[in-house]
Amino acid sequence: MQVHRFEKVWLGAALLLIVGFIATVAYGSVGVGVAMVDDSGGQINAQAVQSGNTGTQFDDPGVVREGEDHYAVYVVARQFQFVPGSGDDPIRVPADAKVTFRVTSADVVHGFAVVETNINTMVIPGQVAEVSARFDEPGTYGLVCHEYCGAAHHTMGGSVEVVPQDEYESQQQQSMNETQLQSPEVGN
Amino acid sequence: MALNRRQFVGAAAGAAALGAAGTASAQEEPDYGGWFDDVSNFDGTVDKRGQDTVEITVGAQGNNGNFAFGPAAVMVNPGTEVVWRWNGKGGGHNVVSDGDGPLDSGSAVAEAGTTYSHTFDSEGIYKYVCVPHETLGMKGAVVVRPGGGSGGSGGSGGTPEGPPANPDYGGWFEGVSNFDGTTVDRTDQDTVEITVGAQGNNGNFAFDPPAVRVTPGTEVVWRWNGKGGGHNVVSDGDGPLDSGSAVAEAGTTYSHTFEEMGIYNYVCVPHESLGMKGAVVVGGPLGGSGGGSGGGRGADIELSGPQWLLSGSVLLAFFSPLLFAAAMRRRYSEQPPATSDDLTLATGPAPVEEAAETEPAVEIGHDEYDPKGTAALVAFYFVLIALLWVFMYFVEFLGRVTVIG
Amino acid sequence: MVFVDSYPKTSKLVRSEFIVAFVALGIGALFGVIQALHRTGAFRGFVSSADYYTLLTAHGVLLALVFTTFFIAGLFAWAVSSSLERELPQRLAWPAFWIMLTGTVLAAVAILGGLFGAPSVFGHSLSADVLFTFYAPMKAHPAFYIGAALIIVGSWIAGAAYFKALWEWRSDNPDERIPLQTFMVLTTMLMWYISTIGVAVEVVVFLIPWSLGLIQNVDPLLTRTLFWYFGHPVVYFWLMPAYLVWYTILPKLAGGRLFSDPLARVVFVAFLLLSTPVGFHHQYVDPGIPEGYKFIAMTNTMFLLLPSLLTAFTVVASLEHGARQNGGSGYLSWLRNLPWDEPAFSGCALAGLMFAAGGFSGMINAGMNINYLIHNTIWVPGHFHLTVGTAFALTAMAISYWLVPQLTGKPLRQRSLAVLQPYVWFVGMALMSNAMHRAGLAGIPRRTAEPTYDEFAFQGVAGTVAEMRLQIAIGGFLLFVGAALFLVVMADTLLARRGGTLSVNGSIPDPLSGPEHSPRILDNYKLWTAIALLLIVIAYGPPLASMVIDGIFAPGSPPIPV
Repeated sequence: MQVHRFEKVWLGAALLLIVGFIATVAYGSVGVGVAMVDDSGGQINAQAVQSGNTGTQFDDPGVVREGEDHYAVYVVARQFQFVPGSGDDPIRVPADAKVTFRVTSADVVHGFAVVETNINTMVIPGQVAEVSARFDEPGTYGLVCHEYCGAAHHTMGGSVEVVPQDEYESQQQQSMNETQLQSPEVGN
Repeated sequence: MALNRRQFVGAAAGAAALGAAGTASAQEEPDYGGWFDDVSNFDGTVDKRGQDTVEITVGAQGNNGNFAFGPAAVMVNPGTEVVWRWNGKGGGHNVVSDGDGPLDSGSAVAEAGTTYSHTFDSEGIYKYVCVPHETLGMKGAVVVRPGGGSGGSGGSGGTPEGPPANPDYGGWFEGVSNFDGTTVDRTDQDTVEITVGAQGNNGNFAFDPPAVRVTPGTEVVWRWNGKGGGHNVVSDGDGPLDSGSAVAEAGTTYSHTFEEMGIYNYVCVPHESLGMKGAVVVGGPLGGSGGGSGGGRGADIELSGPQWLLSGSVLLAFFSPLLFAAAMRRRYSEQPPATSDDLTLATGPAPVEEAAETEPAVEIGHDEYDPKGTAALVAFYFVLIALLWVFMYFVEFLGRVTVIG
Repeated sequence: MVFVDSYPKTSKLVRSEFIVAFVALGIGALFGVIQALHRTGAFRGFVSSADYYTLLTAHGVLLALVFTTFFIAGLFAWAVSSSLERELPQRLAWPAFWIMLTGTVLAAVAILGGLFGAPSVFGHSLSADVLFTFYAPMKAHPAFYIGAALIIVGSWIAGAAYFKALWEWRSDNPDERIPLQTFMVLTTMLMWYISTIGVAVEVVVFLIPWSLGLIQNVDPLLTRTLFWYFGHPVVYFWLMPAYLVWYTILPKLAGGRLFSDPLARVVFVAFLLLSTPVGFHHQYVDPGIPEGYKFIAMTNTMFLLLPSLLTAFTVVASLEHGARQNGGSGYLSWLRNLPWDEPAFSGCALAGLMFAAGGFSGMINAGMNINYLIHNTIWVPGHFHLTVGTAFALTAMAISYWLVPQLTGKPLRQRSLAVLQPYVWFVGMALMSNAMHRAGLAGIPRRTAEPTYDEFAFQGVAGTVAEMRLQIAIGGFLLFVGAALFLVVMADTLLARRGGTLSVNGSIPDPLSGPEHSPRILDNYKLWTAIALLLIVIAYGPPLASMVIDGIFAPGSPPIPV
């Protein structure tokens, strides 16, 4: 086989590039600790999510404190809103704490991306997507459904409000008191 | 404004039905101010006056799926209990008033058999939506009016004068994002409420509704919702409205009773430049169902022009080869027959030959050729993508809040 | 002798395939410009935002499935027929064409029904707003799935015609090396057979019965995985025909000869081996799939860069050879000696240049964790408009300027428009694609009618959002003009009268380093197919097993019409 010497050099360079890419990604995983969305969230019955009787936190989605420095956010994505997240119901989490998003779908495939962060996952019926992150900067982040989910897909957005930790805790305390004071309004 | 096939189909059907069914209820058909424009299953207001309880299905067929209230609009007497019943289709739904209103069934639920009810005591038009599917057209309205049968609302005497059905605001609403061209009809109500701090104009810098028509003698109440900072309500130029300096607190109200017919323009002084402007139209066409809805339908058909353009373009694309063939035939039939045509008739297809092969100036063989230009180009490419990769990975990617588990 | 006179039957077949492809291109391009104007907010009067997705589905299916498959079927028919010097077996090739056309009409009617109020047909509403990827549990009309299946089945039968031609040729030429063009076609088709199994199973076993109501539920993750088993190789099904053109025709157009036949064969074998076991790189951020499988897919994907990087060298070296034979010199000044005013050449060369840029964004897409940065943002359409939308589409258009005269015996008409057309496409794509990539970095999603939200606003990363929108709108418009110019040239040429001296010459010179220098084992399809299947079993066996072990329909989702 005739291979020109320039081609041999280029073959070597190309292999170097490929190995370099793989090494960078491996460094990101092992060295920096960037984890991929995987099967850790487990499975769930999508129809039960829709009717709200999964027997899990997804029946009452929202933020749950899981540890001293660890909060879990249960989010149900449905045509065409995040609960919580969309409209006047932003996801509120504290800064400088580990926040684990557990997201699942009540109907079709959705996406869940927090704008300008690396939090970006598919939301597939039957699966629970689990991603953790730590927000250093308080502020409001956009939330986008990035997978086409039906005729009003483009309206499906939301926001994540990251508030300083002390402020977050005092607000939590306040709202809990309010909840206890209010008598439950029965609408059904 | 984007148009919508449902509007288009609805408009066509509506135009056809206008002569037949439309006239019968024209007297009583309330003007919803465009509320039902994109609601596919809206087919007039169903008169259920005289019943104590009225049921509405949540998840009825319509709006491209099970995204409808059935019926979309009902008319009931004051004191009627309206019950919304979920049929379990189309995912999670809820029933929430548009703007400030009494209805709120809470967050969306899907389960069949769920109900929510409300008893309407005061007259008026109560618009509501299913929040998750509002953009699809899942909207409804309850019209509370006394009477029943053929009695009508008693307003048919009409107001002799006043601003026309589509008032000319003289450019007042240019740059007001939440004004969609409709003047919301709130005639025949004693009190009309306008939200101060509604969403619009790039924030909570809007009056909702921005333009409203009322009957002379109506008290208009502005209610602050606490959003978007401090607002006030002040007439443009010489006018009766002045709520004083801007306040932010939710629940603040300011009211004025309009006796004289005319158009009253007003602004929120701090946010006027953002487009926080409004107008109250006092007097004018009653109900407006004839003129108003007719005008609306006309506009729908006008809007569907681009849709015809699209359908036409697609058809044109399909048939363009034929059109082209026709054009070419004409072109050739105008030319005098060339001699080769005779030849074709005699001997079959015209002879074709390829272009001559272009000979290179010099022949260069494999062993005497070093692709040094190629080497230079690929070396440049190598460096470029290596640098871009490092930038993308270590600056753009690792510089962000990242996934740690 | 001109191809049309040597092989009139195959010429007619190729012309038919091309005409269907061009009609699909025209409609797809029209829908494309409507979307570019709609989503950027430049003009939203054509359709409502809900109907945007109908056009988006049609745009994807008509361009990425119909235009590509028909054009490739035609190109391959020409390549096999001319390199084996015989007519293609008509009894296989024509039924393949008609089956594919039937499938196309079914799918197109199902999609476009959505623009006309989705009337109920056979008990299902006639619409298919499910986009090119048709992820369950969004449900389309059954005709959409049946149509898609027929297009695939038709392409299988078309492939059988190429293999039958090879066997006929082999019995006449027992000891010869398979001609390079036929080798490339058959390698591509083997890859296609292996990879379309995924989508065939997805559609035939799951989606058709499910859409008809015969089964209640499907597993959204499993059907997605089957789609992407096919969804990445399909991009090589688009790319490899472009490579066929770049390797075998482009050097001649540049006045030179292919630098190396053996490396071309190595490259195609590498694609056969590695194209399929990489689909999980489209599912890097899917829940339910362990990270290890994603990493395996990534290493395979990264090694798939190798054949493309080798191609870059071989093709550019072949062009440089042509330039130097025509007086070119220096390190870069030889570029001036290339025939930039020859549309077949300039189109292919500009397509290759854009592919180099698309290659870079593909490398980011392929990086497992950096995929978080751009997954499902508009960066991704920015990428594939450079690859399938330029590397393939512009090459297809450019080579039509060279092929169609030979297939019809009619000289190319409207030459001045043809000369301009590749540059219009290039400028349009440069504007649109760079803005899409940057908008993707700002987090703006793909597949949306109105990328603005009530709850927040996007901030541009490099440049402002308004400026990116403007570039996308102008670029999209120029691309539409580019497609229209091409169609005018083609229509005028196809309808012109036959006869006279053509603008092109169909002979292809021998490579500088011919097949005699390549090892015979490269032509051993059985071996390469076996290795390809083995790699697939390694990459897909365990994850598919874990998805079906809990029941093939679980966790299940019932159909949700959109």
